[in-house]
Amino acid sequence: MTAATDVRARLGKAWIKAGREIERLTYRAKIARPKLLGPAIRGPLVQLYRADADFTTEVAFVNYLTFYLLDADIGITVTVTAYDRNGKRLGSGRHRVGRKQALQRPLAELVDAPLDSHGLFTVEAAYDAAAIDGIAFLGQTAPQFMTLFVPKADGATAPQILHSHKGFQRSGVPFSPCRWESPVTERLAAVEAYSVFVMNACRSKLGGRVELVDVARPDAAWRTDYHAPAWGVARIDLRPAALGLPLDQPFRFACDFDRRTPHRKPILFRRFADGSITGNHS
Amino acid sequence: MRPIRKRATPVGVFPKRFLISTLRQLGQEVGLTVPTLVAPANGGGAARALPVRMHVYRGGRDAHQFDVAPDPRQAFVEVWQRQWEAGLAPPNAGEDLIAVEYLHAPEDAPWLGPRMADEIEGQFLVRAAPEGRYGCVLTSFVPFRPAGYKFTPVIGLTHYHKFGPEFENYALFVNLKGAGATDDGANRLHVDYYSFAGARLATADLDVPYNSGYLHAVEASLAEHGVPAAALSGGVIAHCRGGASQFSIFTLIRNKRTGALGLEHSLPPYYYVTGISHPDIRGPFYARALAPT
Repeated sequence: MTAATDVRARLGKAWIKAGREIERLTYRAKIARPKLLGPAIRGPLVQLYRADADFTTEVAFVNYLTFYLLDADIGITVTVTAYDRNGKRLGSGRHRVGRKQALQRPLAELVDAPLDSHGLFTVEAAYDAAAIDGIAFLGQTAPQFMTLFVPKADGATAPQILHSHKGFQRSGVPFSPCRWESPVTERLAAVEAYSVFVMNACRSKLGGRVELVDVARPDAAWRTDYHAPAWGVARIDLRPAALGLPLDQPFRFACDFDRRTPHRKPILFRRFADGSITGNHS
Repeated sequence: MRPIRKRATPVGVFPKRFLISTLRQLGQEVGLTVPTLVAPANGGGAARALPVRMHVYRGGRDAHQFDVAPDPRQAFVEVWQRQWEAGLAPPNAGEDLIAVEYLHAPEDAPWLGPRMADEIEGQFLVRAAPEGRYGCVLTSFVPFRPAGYKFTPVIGLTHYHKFGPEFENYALFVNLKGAGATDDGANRLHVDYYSFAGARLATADLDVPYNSGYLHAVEASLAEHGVPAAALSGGVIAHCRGGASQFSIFTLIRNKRTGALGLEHSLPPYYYVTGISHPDIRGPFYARALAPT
């Protein structure tokens, strides 16, 4: 890293730190004055969707407030918004989840729009205004949800369930390079194909490199560059047999980012010889 | 609300374990990866990675330990069931609980204490065969309490099933009590099943064996409690309460034809109520969350 790049990275990290502090203070103000400023609800939270030949995506959300505060009668209105792979907003829908209720529906229905083959979607929540006083003591809450990647009918796969508590950032993120390494050893001989989805949950372009690194010899790796537009997703498909790597050696995925976007664990799907697919954020 | 006290640097090492279960009933081999923890360099000595110990609880007893000496140059340690079970007699029934800890010396406390007090995670790995398909889920280490510790009861909320002729759904309860008494009823979970429309469908009481993994078949449990299969397509919420010992809970969806699995950890209350450890929140929260229904 050159001196100029180093200074740029330091400034970027300081900017991110300041932004986090402002966010923290905003939440603290809301916790102190929920009636005036609204309740301190984290969000929007973000996750990947797929709507392609392998999977459709369902979103599962439960009215957690009424399963925790059993005497409460408060509805949660959930706003779900989807973007295409280039970060263009596709549609949005609001859905009320009443006392002790839940919803789990295809994302396309929830946002009332056709989806791209993959992209980001967000979930944010609002609580019934009349009940805010009764739940103010909870402080900050978070509208957690689960994402189910549902295989096409008669496939060999089981639905893959993913959770994300990462935030969607409406602003940009300055240059602040970082790296992620997967803890999972990949057995290339067992895998027919990988699909790696790098999510960019901020308003700046994201670039970097995905690597498949030999555990025993880290200098021996396969690498490819990626670029993800603001609020977009970069998809990298690869077939281990075509990479010229020793298939009998253990490998790990790693990913470099040129900025610290909120979601820095790429979603990894593996296709096996029997047609089944597993997916996880690692 | 009083401000949360600034976290002090721990002087000791907060004991934590990474908990997983075998999945023999589903014909799977399990494994795990945990980070390699390397003692900071001190003078000219070689880097020292903390050994990792797997406690294999079988029939509720800490029946076997398996130690691994990690390579300090590798960021993670990966171990599979066939490694820790080598030389062990096959079990009679049920699932083993695997509890993973880092072995450390007193001089490790200054650097290991803060590390263990922070979030530390491992991967729960599942595979059909060594050269077959595999999947995983990332989840946290959990506190390991001394015998006699009074646990806060568990509140579990599972609503992300997929019902249909192709799939079956399971809840996997992993329950670590350690060497404490096992006659206190702290292994009992009360489950209320609700429809997505908010109507209570059934209730069940589960005795989750101490120091074990317990695979609970959701469809079978619902049928046993009189919920018709036709009611499942609208969605089912499982609201679990009780179980005042250390639990990790996972949800599994299995493709009945191929045996392929989907796996995810549950979301305890702190995911939804981020300040739940604050004393002004915790008391009133649990009083209302554990009230009789």
